[in-house]
Amino acid sequence: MIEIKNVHANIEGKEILKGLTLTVNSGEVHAIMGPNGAGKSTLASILAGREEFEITEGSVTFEGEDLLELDTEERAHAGLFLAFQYPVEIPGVSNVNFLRTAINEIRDARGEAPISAKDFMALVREKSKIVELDSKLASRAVNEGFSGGEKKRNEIFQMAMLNPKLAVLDETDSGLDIDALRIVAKGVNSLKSADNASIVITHYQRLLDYIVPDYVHVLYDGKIVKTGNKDLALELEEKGYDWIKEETQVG
Amino acid sequence: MDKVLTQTKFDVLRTKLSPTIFPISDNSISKAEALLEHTDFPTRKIEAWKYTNVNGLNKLLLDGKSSALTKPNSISKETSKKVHIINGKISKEHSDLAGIKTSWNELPSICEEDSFDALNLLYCTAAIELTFKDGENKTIELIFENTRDTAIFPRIFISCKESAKGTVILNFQGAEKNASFINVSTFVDVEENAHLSIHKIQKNGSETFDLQREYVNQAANSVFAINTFPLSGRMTRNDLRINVNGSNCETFMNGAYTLKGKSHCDNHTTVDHKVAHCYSKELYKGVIDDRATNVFNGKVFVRKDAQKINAFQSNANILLSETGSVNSKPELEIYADDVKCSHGSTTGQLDDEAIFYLRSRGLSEKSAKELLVKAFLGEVLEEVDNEDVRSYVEEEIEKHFST
Repeated sequence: MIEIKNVHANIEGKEILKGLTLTVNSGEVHAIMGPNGAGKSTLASILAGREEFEITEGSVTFEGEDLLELDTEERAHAGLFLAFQYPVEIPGVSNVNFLRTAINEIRDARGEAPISAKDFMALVREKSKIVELDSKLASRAVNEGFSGGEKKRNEIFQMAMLNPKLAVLDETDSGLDIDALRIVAKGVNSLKSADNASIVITHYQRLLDYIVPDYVHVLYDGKIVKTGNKDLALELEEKGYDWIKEETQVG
Repeated sequence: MDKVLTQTKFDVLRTKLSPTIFPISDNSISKAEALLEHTDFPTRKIEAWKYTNVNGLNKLLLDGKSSALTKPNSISKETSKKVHIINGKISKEHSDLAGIKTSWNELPSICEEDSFDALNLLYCTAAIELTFKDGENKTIELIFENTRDTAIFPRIFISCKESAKGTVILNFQGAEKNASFINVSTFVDVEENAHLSIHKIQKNGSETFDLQREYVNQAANSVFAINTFPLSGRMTRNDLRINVNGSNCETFMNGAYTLKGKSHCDNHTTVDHKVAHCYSKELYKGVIDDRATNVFNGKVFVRKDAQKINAFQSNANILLSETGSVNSKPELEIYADDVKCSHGSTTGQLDDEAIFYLRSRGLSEKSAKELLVKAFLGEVLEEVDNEDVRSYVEEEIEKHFST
């Protein structure tokens, strides 16, 4: 699905990613963990196409296409979705209105006809249930006045509506209480299929109790320094990141 | 020694104008002439014209050259009364003039010291009086179709009688490249318990200069709302002056503008709260693209004994280019001590984070910006109670982005 090869990325001249390599196949859930400043959010940003980052080396291939050549919206058309760590409030723009525009622009890019109003509303009803999002929230202005938990549920609702091939969840668990965390995880799990994949970026192991990853990667100093299964996450939770740092420095 | 007489800018302009065919008293003529004599166009030294330069008026040829207007849009539904004013003159065959005064024994004189109002009187091309009586609740739309490069000087009198309710749509539509000089004076009288709404659309040709003044007087317990939509034109200047003379009045002023190319738009508004227990609310918002320039000046006066006034004023602008500019000046002058007033002005860009967020969901940069602009101007449109006007302006905002 996606092949990230030896990616180096700078922001304002400072190198954050220093040769990151990662391959994700259909049907897989990959967790990326790591201490603050390791480059976790930078990874999410370069995948979504934030222009502040300069990629100096390496490549990213998504479904056979050079992802780095695509504009942000073209990446969405190709089936990439980023759940934001800090979802943006957009006063005056209704959630459903903007989602219909988004769905139709994606369909247009794929040469499909626009979705009918009836099918769209049925989709809204079906998908808002997945994250237990009140239908009133679905029609309100995008994230305006939403609580932290509602914003994150809205991200997963949008993900459900857009049905991406690859979802990148950037610290979706940050700021969530245990109930919201459970709902968000349930949403992500129910969207999982053999044809899609997710990259779950998180600082804490907690989320991985609910979203069980196939692989856990430790990102440290701009590189993936260790890969394991879900037990690695538990080990990190118990021992912290210091031993990884030491191991890396020794290595 | 002989005095050297030089030709003023008004003198030059007047050589291209034909005197009005409407009867004016000698007294009115000399009052108007006195204002124009030895007078040049206002310069930036005059505070009210600091950011608006009308010298370009004299570059207009006003030679009657015609260009087709694709669709002379009437905005309102068929239930309303419609009057067509074609190139400044009332078209009797296309208009429903029953109950509307269009012939005059004598035109009323100018009411304030304004040289453009004086010019409007002396060269008036159409004088129209609309009267709303209790129990009628009608909508009248004046459709100004401008297909020739000419001088269009309507003088409009609107009288909303005691306890009457009325709606007026002033719909200015110019052919795409029209290069006219539109100069309008509108006198509005809202009597006790009356309720009047005016919607003004200024969809002028790209070379047109449009200078308009509204003089409004509100009596006690009346409600007056005016929604102004300068949508296109080379230069648009609106001077809105509202005197709130009676207590328990409500006054609403809304404006939304979309400027691009090298167009210039200037909205000057004044609300004068002369008496107590009144409410006024003003909201003007606009987007400025390319090299366009916008001016807003809103004055609210609260006179000495006008206690318990609630007056709110806000102007917000979004610059869509690096070369557009905005001069916004909200002013409050309060001489009473028990009032609640606020004013504010903001000018900024669209939120890059919001654009990125929308693009990450698949919207093109253009649709993302369009959605944000529509949301920004939507706050003004929400204030517009007339469905027809609202949907017309919404469509125009969409078209603004597709061309």
